[in-house]
Amino acid sequence: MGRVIGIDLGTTNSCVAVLEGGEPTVIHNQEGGRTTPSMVSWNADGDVVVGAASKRQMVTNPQRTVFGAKRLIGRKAHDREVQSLATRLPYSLVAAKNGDAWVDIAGTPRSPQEISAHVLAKMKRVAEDYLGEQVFEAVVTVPAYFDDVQRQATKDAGAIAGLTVRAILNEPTAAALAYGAQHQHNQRLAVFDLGGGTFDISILAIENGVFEVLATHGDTSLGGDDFDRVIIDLLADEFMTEHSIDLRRDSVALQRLKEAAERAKIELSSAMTTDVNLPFIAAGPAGPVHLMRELERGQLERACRPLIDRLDAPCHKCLTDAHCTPADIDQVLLVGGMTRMPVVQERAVQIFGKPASKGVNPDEIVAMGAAVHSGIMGGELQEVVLLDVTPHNMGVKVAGDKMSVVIFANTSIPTRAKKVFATTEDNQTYVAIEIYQGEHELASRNRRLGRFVLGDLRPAPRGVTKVEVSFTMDADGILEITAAEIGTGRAASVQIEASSGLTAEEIERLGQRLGG
Amino acid sequence: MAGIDESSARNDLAGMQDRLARDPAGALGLPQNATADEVRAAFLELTKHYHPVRFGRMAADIQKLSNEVFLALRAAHDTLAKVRRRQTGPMAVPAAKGSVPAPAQLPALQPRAGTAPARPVRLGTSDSAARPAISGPAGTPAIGARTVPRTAANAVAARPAAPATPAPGPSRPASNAQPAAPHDDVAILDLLTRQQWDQARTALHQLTARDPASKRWRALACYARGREAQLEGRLDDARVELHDALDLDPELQLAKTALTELFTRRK
Repeated sequence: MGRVIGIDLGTTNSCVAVLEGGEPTVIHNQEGGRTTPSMVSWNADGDVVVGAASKRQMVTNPQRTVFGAKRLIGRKAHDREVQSLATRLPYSLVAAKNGDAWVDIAGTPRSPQEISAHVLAKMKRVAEDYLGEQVFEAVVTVPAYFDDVQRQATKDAGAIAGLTVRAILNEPTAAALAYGAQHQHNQRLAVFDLGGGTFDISILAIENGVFEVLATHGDTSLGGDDFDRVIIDLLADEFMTEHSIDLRRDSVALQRLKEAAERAKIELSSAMTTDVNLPFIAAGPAGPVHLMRELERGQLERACRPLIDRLDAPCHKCLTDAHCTPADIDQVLLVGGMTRMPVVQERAVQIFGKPASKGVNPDEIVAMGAAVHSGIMGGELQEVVLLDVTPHNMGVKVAGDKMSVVIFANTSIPTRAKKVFATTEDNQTYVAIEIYQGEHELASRNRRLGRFVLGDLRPAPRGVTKVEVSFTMDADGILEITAAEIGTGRAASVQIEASSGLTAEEIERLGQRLGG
Repeated sequence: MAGIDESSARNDLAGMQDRLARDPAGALGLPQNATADEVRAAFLELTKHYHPVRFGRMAADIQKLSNEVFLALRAAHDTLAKVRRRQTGPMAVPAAKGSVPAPAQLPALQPRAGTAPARPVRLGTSDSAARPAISGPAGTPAIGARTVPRTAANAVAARPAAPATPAPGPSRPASNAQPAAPHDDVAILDLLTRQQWDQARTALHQLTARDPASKRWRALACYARGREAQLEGRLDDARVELHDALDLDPELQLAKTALTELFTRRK
């Protein structure tokens, strides 16, 4: 049986690692980089370019260069977050037939799964070049706060890329595995993961080699891209006031602005000031106009304050759910490139009351953890195992669009939970059980995962007939639901697998196209 | 793989499931008077062997069975721990490693001997492929002249790299605003002025290959593409290329002039 590789499929960058002699090893890509930009471009002649080569095209080919597909994967075009994202992207979004957010590449709609598949295929090739053998299986990481649809979509992306995704691992958990594999004494860890697109916070206990996630929280719409956007807005608003030109309405200028913003952000992590220098950025009434100014770290931090403040609530909720106080936490791990920003580090210190642990590479540790997990699956690592949790409530829609939760968020999986429901109408002959995932108390505001029907109920006045619904979630988070009428033993059962919106045929076809 | 085949995994799981159903404490290898710490420690040891992830690459029925076994294992732990919690308090402080009692029944899944995999054979090609195309000694003509039409461009490219530039080291300072070879520069500027785009590009390509550290040639190549685009009316492409030219050489007057013209004409 072949190797299982570990892939951190990031919003901005991806990284691949394998286990060698029990140790996770990050693999260099063909360009020599330890991470690969998660970017995919389609050239005019239809060729697909991935990674650093795609990043280089971002300016010359902005409408056909996709970055940040992870922020779209498994989402609907009408989602508020997707809508707000759409106004700021140089490429255009379209709604697929099923309402999913897809990307329009020169008139061809392409799913985020297909785009991510190109990145995964690239990582697969990187690993194959290094290992000298073909690779068919992977552990792929996702933000802990991803819901089932986003997870399934990530699995589908793997399938298109020719990879069987053996496990979908939560990113902060992966980081903890990589860290804990080297620091195995019993301890509590908080993993603070601010990446390109998402924020996750997880609290874990390492106990005799068993890594138990106590709680996890997050914000799937908070990441480095948002900080870049704050800088873009700061610069563009100022430019607008001065020259009455909105640079955001000009895709070429916007792309340049975006690059300058990212650069300035990175420089301000080590320097107190930086120069933003964009000559000939636009045409004014009297010829070309330039954008040249100095940006201070303080200005950036003031502008980003609302984003920084959004880090607090998930951390406090996570501590509460883990039944911990900051004093119970032995180590704080900072993961994700955004944790290099001093003001982010300061906030983490403020929340947990202790400095973060040093010596962790925030760009690589997640992929290393995925490789460790592959070793757990493969049997190379016998003394380590992971108990993860389900990040969201799972429940059933009941009268009045209420969400009746059966499995609560932060329950350790695998798990099984039961709940009894009564009929709401006289002589009701069937019950339709609709499964939702999410924290909102109105079911319709949560993610709908599926529906099934238990029929042939005994006719009875409402409230008399009772149905017991049992949710079993396996270690991969896959849910099986059984409903039984109490007293008759009549039962129905269904396995709920979230659909990423692509059919098996579509995945197969896309896979063939990508492979050929 | 875990070093066991699927049928023994199936037997092992079924056996554990049976033991857990009949005698939870016994299945955990615990005496009837075990403390909460001992219950916890035994649970953690068995978790390492019976967690479904260990069976994640096996047949679907084994995966399903492993989930059931683990659910039963945890239920046993929860029940046993609850009974004893009063005696020892909540399990806030995990048991120290040394005090873990060995489960009476050894788990059937044993670590495989010599699990360290053989180091894979690495293909040595990727490193050399990553190097710049030009690796010959200084003065070796850059790229074979076969692709270059016999024109002025050829004259530029075929000139030995010797004049001012031995093979440039990677650490060469980036003060490339000064042309490395004045003759080349004059020839290129002449081609650009005469709008001989193809020839200028070819020549610049060769010069870049010969002198990869120089930003001058790359800036001029961007300028050439940008200026051509500008004259053809592809103004966005022109902006992108001309901006790139200025990024590479902020003092490139040609690009500044072209951009000024572009933004003024655009009105």
